Amino acid sequence: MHTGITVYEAHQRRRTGMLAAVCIMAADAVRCRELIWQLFRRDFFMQYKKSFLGLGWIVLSPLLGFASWVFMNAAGVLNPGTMDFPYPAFVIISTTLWGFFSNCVVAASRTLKAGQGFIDQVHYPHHTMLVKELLQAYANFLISFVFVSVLLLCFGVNLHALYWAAPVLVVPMLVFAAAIGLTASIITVVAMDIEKALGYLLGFLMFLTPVVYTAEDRTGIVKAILALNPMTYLHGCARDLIVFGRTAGADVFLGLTLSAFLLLLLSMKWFYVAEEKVIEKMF
Amino acid sequence: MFVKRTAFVGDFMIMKPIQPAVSFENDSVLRVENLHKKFCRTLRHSMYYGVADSVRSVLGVPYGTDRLRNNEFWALEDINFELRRGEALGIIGANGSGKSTLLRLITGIFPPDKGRIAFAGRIGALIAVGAGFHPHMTGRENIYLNGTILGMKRREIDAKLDEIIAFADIGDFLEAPISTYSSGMRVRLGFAIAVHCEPDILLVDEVLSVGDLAFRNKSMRKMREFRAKANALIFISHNLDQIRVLCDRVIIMDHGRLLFDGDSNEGLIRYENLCKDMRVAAINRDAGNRELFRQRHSDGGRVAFVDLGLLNRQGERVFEVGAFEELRVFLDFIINEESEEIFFALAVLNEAKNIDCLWSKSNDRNRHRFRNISPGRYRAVVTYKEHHLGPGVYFINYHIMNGATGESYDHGFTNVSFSVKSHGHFERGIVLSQDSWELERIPPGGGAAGGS
Repeated sequence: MHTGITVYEAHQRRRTGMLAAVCIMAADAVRCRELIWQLFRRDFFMQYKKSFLGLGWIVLSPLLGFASWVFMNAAGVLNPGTMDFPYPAFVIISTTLWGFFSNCVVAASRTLKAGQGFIDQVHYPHHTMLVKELLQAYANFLISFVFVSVLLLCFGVNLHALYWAAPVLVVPMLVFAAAIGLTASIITVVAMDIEKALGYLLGFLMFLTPVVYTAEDRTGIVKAILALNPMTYLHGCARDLIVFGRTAGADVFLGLTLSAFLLLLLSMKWFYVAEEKVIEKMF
Repeated sequence: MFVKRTAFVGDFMIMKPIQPAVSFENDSVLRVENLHKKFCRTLRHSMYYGVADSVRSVLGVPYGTDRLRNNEFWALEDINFELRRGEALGIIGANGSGKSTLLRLITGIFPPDKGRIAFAGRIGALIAVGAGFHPHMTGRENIYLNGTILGMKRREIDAKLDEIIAFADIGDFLEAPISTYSSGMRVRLGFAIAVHCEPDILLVDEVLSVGDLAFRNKSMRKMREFRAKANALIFISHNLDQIRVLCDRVIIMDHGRLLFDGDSNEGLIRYENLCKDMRVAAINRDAGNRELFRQRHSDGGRVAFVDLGLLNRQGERVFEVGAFEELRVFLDFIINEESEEIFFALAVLNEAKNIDCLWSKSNDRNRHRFRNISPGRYRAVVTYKEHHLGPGVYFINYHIMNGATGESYDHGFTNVSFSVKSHGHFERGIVLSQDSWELERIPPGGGAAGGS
């Protein structure tokens, strides 16, 4: 008689509770760390292999965005509000943070697609690709962050001590993005519309979030939307702490951080159960 | 009885929910019970069902996956079999019969819609070689990447690295990006990594035909080594010779169902006959839409062709005959004008219709002379006491002529077909013959002598 018997049955995962599902996913991520590392290495280091600028693109992308916002501000097109910090420095930090959030959503939505090329040939825990995709987005952010820091220091911008806590302060955004992306990753397999819509929605959401302007001087409907938008706090509070060393809505920020974690747990359960219903539709 | 357990898939350990215990008695390593899998025919329905099912499953709303909905079909239906330690099982079937789907379910790539798969130990699949290869990474880097994807640990790859490199025979290219490899080298490298995973159950899907002859032979030897270690093997191939050499047992799949499960020799003969039946059925089905004649030359209405085909000993029309059995071909026709003498020629052609496998003429060596034929309907029957046609599909052509003047009455190149079935042997070729073999050792510098 054997030990270590594996059984595959219909609706196997439906019977798994939320906490059990999350524990299984976390345990798989630890056990599959070599797979995560190998695929991270493949996709991170090889992504710019056939390009003259190589990894330089990671810093060039936010820099180009930054240039356009600074130009618009100088031309008087933009009304960023009042602030006691150089606007170019403010916008480069803010857009880098938003870029990180946006990249994390897209990365998490690619959880199933990350295994394209072998997902139909090899059995592996698909949810482990979430870790790999997020690691990649986080590594890109760290490179941008180092570059932006050097740039700001070169231009003599006075940085607050909390500025250096940015890699930790972005974690709530990462968690919220992972929850959104993981949910979307299931639906994108059956309906590609979501993938396209996600790109447009993120672009639109950026204007509904005080990324290139401050929330203080807003009134009317804009103020109401900004107040209801969780990114106003997840992004805005993190940025304010990084830039000014203080934030007005710290309690909301903490509450939303907790909610983001709960949302991620729900989306992990959703992914774990729903994945087996859509996986064959990838081929 | 309920147990909580952990399970290993490849090298990824997955905790399983509490389920009824499964135990394996004897030497069983894999058990497939009442397995069903369904797919959807249309993309729109597939999208709708995908979204609806995933939402329902999360909300815990029960829905029947054991019944078919609009535009769904069973890709696998009620599959049951068992695999024992050290056994090699061949899976054969036409394209679309469900072989690869079955393999993907056993591997855990697809979940079942009904039924259960249980296996002991580590399972590995060789479905396609070089999964996840990156063209810009070197051969060495890709060995680690692909090995990890296939479930190997780094230390395991370290230990087998030299063996993999030697098996792949990629020489100095190891440190070059694999985009610079030839397709053969890439395939060899992928195969070399996969066969060194050494799982307890190896699933191989049509990949032993990769590389050149020397590499294919090396791969076959590796498979034999794998079996010798008492591991179990499931092997899918259209190459029946490979199945015959490697497998003790075969299962035949057809339209998602298991048609046969048993000894490989018997199974392969059944499968060959099944293929012929399907070809004849397809040919006959097409015949309904096709002209009876590919070409016909008829001299007015003096003699009119009516029908052509095979008869059994009871005189009933049949469409198949066994190897080495009596072959009876009939030709029905109508004579409208009295004829002084008439004779027939009959040809049995191979499936490609380019070789006359049998050709006979009724008045050959004046054996049969049909004279003074008055108007009416007639049937000519030619009997081959023990035909030597090999298993396959054949077509019949006829020619009716005037024996006195040599005039041609009716000459037809038809689409009328029949099949020859194999009787307990694995046979190929157009002609069958009883054979015997001897082996003699030739001493150096001398003629054959002794030993058999």
